[in-house]
This record gives sequence, structure tokens and C-alpha cells, in this order.
Amino acid sequence: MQTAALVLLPTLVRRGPVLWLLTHAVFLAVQFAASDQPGPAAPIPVILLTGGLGLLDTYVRAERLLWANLGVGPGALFAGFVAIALLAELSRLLVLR
Amino acid sequence: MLALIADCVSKSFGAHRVLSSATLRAEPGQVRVIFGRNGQGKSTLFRIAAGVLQPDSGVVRVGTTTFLRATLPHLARHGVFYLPDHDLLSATMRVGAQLALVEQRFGRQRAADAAAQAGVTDFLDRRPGSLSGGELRRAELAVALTRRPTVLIADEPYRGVAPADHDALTTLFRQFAADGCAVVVSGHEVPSLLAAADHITWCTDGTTYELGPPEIACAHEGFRRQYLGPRAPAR
Repeated sequence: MQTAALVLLPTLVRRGPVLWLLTHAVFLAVQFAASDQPGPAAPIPVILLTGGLGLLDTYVRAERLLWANLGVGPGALFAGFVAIALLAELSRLLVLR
Repeated sequence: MLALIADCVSKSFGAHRVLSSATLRAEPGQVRVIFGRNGQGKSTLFRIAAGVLQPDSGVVRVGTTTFLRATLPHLARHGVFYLPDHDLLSATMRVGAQLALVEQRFGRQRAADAAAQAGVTDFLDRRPGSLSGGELRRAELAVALTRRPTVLIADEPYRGVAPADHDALTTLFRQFAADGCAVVVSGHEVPSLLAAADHITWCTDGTTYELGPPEIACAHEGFRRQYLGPRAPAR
């Protein structure tokens, strides 16, 4: 028997980085449309949007009830994707330093 | 003691009052069936009891714990499993992967054994979207079997299942109950559900009536007239 976090982890690791990259792509596209000189996106909006997209992704995949039956609520899903995005942002900042 | 009770719940959607004072009871070792015509609030009552929907008034109790605002993730940790009338399984994960998730999380029964018991071993590598209605229902039941809950709330589990497979489904529910699980089921498949039931509840006009064992329920004049109809089974 594993905790909800451990059961959720492989899904977060598989989907989180893709959603984080997608969020950066969205920010980049918006900046391109708005100005000639796009810069790096601010980390906090990217992290929060990744969390929101992760939650939306589980809804689109019709997984809400499956996760709920496993004891994983929307708050935990959002927090999980936020945590992955946070790690990705920290890694990006370390690489770019 | 009751395993779960959604007590005196009411629910309105806008100006439309669906439930005025309805109660769902789940008792260990029993299969309780809730009958009612379409639109009488059965599914709403099930969703409230499972914590998927919040009632306007009333409470949900699991064992000795009372939830003023029950949510399915909380109830699931207390042993409740909700089998909705559709969309239990992820559309993008393979059936086998979803069974494995449940096994890892709760580990009450091996996923492979549950798959064999529900007859889904042949399509563990397939995604739910590629399954027929009956296969999908069996896959969802395999998830419930893997979970081995203490309370199983199944909304219209016979829907989309061929009549020839009804007996197998009834046997599964009886097995759940024999293992001490409290099972609550709804549906319109009267002969199969009467065969599975220990107790009948009638949901009508936003409230519920506890009719008792199937033979007594079938003798209830109002229930016969308003729900079972003239071709009601003689018990």
C-alpha cells in the first residue's frame, strides 16, 4: 500500500515537464505577439499556470473520479503539478546562471 | 452499525428541487438496491453520498465519522468506492495501468486476480475508448474488485451490460457483500437487481422509502403501481 503522493508521482513526472514546456511556449507566443523583444517569462505565473493546466489535463482525460477514488483530490493534483513546475523553474535558473 | 449514511439530504439545482429529504443507507454484508423512475434523484443521492456533490442540507456519515462537507477523496480514504454511471476510467491510460494504480494505492487484491474475476484479462492493454459498453463496465468493476472497498456505491452498474452477463454481475455484488462490503446499487433491471438485493429502497418525489426485503417490497402497492408496473414479478 502506497501513499497517494507516491501513486501520483509517476503521472506527475511524465506529464508535468511537458505541461511546463507548453506553458513557456504559450508565454513566449504571447510575448512575441505583444512586443518585438520577448524576454524570459516570470517564474511564478508559469508555475501557477502549469498547476492549472495539469488540473485541466486530468479533467480532459476524464480522470477526476479515478483519482478521487484513490484519495487524490483536485488540490493535491494542482499542488503536484505546481511542485514539478517549481523544480523545473529552479533547474532552469541554475542552468542559466 | 451502518457503514455509510447520507442522512436527510436535500438538493436543488436553481429553482428545481431534486431531493427534499432523502436518505441512503449502506450496511455491511448487504446489497441494498435503490429503485426509482428517471429524474427522481437517485443519481443525485448517490453523488451526494459519494461526496461528488454537496447537499443543500443533510450530512454524510461513514462509520462514526460525520462529514458536513464530504468529498470523495476523503471518503475514499475511509473505504468508500464510487462507481458512477459513466466515466470512471481515464480515457488515455490502459486498463491494466489503471488497475495497477489501484493495487499500488490500496493493495487489497491483486489486479490480475480482479481482472480475471471480472473477465477483462484479454483487454488489459487496451484503452477504455476502444472497449464496448459491456467490456468497459466490467473493466470498471475490476477496478472496484481491486480496491475491495468497505462501501461500494454503484450507480446503474447493469447499464450497457448484456442480459446474459447480468447473473455474473449479480454474483460479483453478492461476493462483495459476503466479504463484508456494504453495497448500494441503482438501476432499472428489476429481475437482476431483485435477485441481488437484501433490501429495497424506493426513491420518488425527492424522498426515499425503505421498503425492506425484495418480497415485501414487491408486495408494496404504491411501489408496484408507480414503479414496477402491471408486469411486476410475483414474489
